[in-house]
Amino acid sequence: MQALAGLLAVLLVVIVLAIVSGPLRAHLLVRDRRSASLSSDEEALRRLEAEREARYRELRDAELDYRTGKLRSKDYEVIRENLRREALAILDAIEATRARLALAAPAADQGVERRSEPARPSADLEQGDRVAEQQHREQDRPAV
Amino acid sequence: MASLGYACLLLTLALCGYGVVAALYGARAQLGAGAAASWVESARRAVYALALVLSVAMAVLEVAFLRNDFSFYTVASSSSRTTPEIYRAAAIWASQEGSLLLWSWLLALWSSLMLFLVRNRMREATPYAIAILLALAGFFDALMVFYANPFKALNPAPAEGAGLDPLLRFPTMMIHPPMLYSGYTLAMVPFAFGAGALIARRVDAQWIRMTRRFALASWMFLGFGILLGARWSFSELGWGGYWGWDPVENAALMPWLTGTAFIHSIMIQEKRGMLKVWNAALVLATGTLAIMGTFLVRSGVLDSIHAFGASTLGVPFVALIALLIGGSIYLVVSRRDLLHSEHRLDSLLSRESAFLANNVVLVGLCFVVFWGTYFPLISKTLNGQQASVGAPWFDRYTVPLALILVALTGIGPIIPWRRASAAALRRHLLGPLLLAALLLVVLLALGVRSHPAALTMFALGAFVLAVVVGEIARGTSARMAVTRESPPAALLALIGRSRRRYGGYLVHAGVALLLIGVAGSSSFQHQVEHDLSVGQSVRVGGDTVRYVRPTAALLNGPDHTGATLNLGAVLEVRSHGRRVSLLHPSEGFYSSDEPSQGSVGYLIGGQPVSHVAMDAGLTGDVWSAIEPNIHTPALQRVIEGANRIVPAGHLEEALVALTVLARDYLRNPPPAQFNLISEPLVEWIWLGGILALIGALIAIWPGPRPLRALARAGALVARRARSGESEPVGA
Repeated sequence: MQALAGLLAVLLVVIVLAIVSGPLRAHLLVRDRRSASLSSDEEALRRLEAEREARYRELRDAELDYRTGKLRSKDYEVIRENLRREALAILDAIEATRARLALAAPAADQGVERRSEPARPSADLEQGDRVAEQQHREQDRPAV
Repeated sequence: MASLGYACLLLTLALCGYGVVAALYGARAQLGAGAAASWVESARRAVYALALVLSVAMAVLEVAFLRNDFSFYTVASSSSRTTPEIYRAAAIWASQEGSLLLWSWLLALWSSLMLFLVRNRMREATPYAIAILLALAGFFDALMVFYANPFKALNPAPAEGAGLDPLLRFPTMMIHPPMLYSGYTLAMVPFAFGAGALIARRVDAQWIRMTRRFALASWMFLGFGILLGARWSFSELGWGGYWGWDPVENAALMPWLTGTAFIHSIMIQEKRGMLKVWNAALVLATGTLAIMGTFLVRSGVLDSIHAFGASTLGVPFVALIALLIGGSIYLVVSRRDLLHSEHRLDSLLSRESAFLANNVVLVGLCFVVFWGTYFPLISKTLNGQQASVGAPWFDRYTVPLALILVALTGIGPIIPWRRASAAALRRHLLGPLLLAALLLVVLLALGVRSHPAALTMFALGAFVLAVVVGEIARGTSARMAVTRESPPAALLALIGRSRRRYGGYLVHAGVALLLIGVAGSSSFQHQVEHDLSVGQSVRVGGDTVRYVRPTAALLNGPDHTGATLNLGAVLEVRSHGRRVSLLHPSEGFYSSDEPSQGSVGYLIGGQPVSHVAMDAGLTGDVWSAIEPNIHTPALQRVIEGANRIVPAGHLEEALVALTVLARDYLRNPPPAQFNLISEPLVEWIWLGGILALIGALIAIWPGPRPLRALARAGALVARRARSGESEPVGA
């Protein structure tokens, strides 16, 4: 039993070492040349997308409050305009960030074995935007 | 296998140490982006590996419990062959050592989940959060390695263990500690990311968005754990109460209160960029209070019914708490220039204002509970005498604050964000206020006048319930007007599309129900403690309870808790001359490890435990507990005689002697002491708790396709905004 426990302990240590050292080994073997600015753009894009989501949620909440009679029409219009303005500014920033990422991605790809696909969520989102827009041409959807 | 478990502990210490260094090195060292990321990623994986190693350690200990491997000190001290298997499976957290292992394991699991969800996000704050989470896990691992090793071996192994404390042989006790510890450990995730965001100077709302569900889950688990503890106290402890302001109960309540404040106030930061200092302070306070809660349970520094948690871990915990408090204050003060609000309050009539008021009340409640809980320590420090405060002191301050809180619970959902019009507010308040007033009038007309605070709570509870029902009805009808859906379809779609809002409303309704139950059961209960002989009756509130006959069972009694002997009674409850129920309370007698009690006496010489029986209903419960008297001269003669005749270790002969004892008890039952309570509305507490739990689950539940929904909303708002359409935006 003691020998089995010892063997299992050694096996566990080997597994743990393999898990923990993976990124360091990968960095040494396959040099990642992605620039720091690319990483910060990805981070910024995700942050902006979260900001955008928050604005949409606020718009939805305001509409629900309006439709259930908690907000006067005048107040609702003001709130909605403010939120739309903020959402548009965020959308512009998202487009600018995506453009930077699109420019940087081919340069980073040249001769580099990529460890990950950093722009993929954004690509999905772009496709999602187009799909959604198409859907909404066919059927409008209420916030409530 | 104990050595494998101990090796796991040493490995976790090494992992925590490495992970902290790797995370901080990756965050601070002047490295290229790829090199820094690989160090941080390695630290992140150290958390995953920690979860794996601790899972192995938990499995080793769990198997030892299930196999009755008494070569483990932890198993020998808190389990036995006579402990039912189902309770052996949960006995791991009955011990100090097992509890620490559970804490560390849960922390590693939740940390891994969070780090998996935020991979490639929050790159500035995450390394510091990883370091904090691993440092906390390392603290608990170090406690196990140096102070309370769950894998301490006994050589030679004893033939039998001491057994699980009979008080813990109760179904809800199997999940009460994991629920509370999940609440505590989940609170450490927002704590770590909040502190990480402050250290990295990234104090926008991103850390709040990423950790919101964890804060909510912590709140839910803590609340559920508190409720399970209350249910255990009510159903098992034999005093008929569910809340006694015990230090360990309070220890869980305090982070729950600040957590409640936090999950409200972060909405203001998410929406308006306000209250950043307040939110940072709240998340750090909640995390620190969670550690203090663990300290109270595990240190035994204050007298508590949770005496099975007593130990000498006080000094390391005090050092950790001092570090957390000092570090939290430093972080908030040093980052105050970054924590300014982006907006001001638009109006005092706004949901922001209601949330602010609710935060003040919740923090006030937490302060009252904190002061009352730690007063014994404070008084001992100041004047050398350990004085304590009791339930009346807590009630004096918490009852008014709770009433204000319930009122705000009703007002909050009615007020919109940013600005409310007085006319709309009046319109929405009128119905619920009229209903509350009507209920008050009816209750007064029925002669319910003796407890003004309870009456106020009933009225305010009705107000909250009317508000929630009204809100859901208005939302459903607004949706039906737009979509032409049927009412059930519109209701489900409404809740599905605004889970946070309507999940929150259900929580409000649940809390209102719960507090109505607390007010009713605590203010209008009737309690009788009486000695009864067979055939005698006693009045309890509006009911009559008659002792019909005694009962006795050897081994595997009706409660299946491993009691050697169960002695009880059949009670008949009659109301207005009609029998409403039969109750079967009993008391379990367990074996002790005291050979001096004799070869038969030791089998029933352990701590006797009440098995409560009750007739539960929506209007009220009739609760009963029995304390049979086995110390009569006749019964004692049976035990003493058997002790002389039966040799030690002859279990079957000893059981025959106990059979004789049980037969004599049934033939000539001595008067037994009964504790009988009539408690109105107590079931509302559990129903309210379940409703709040459902609401919290709805609020936490992620959308079916969050990314697709996000994209759809994006496309729509862009299209409409650019084309200048005036229709409201949906998502």
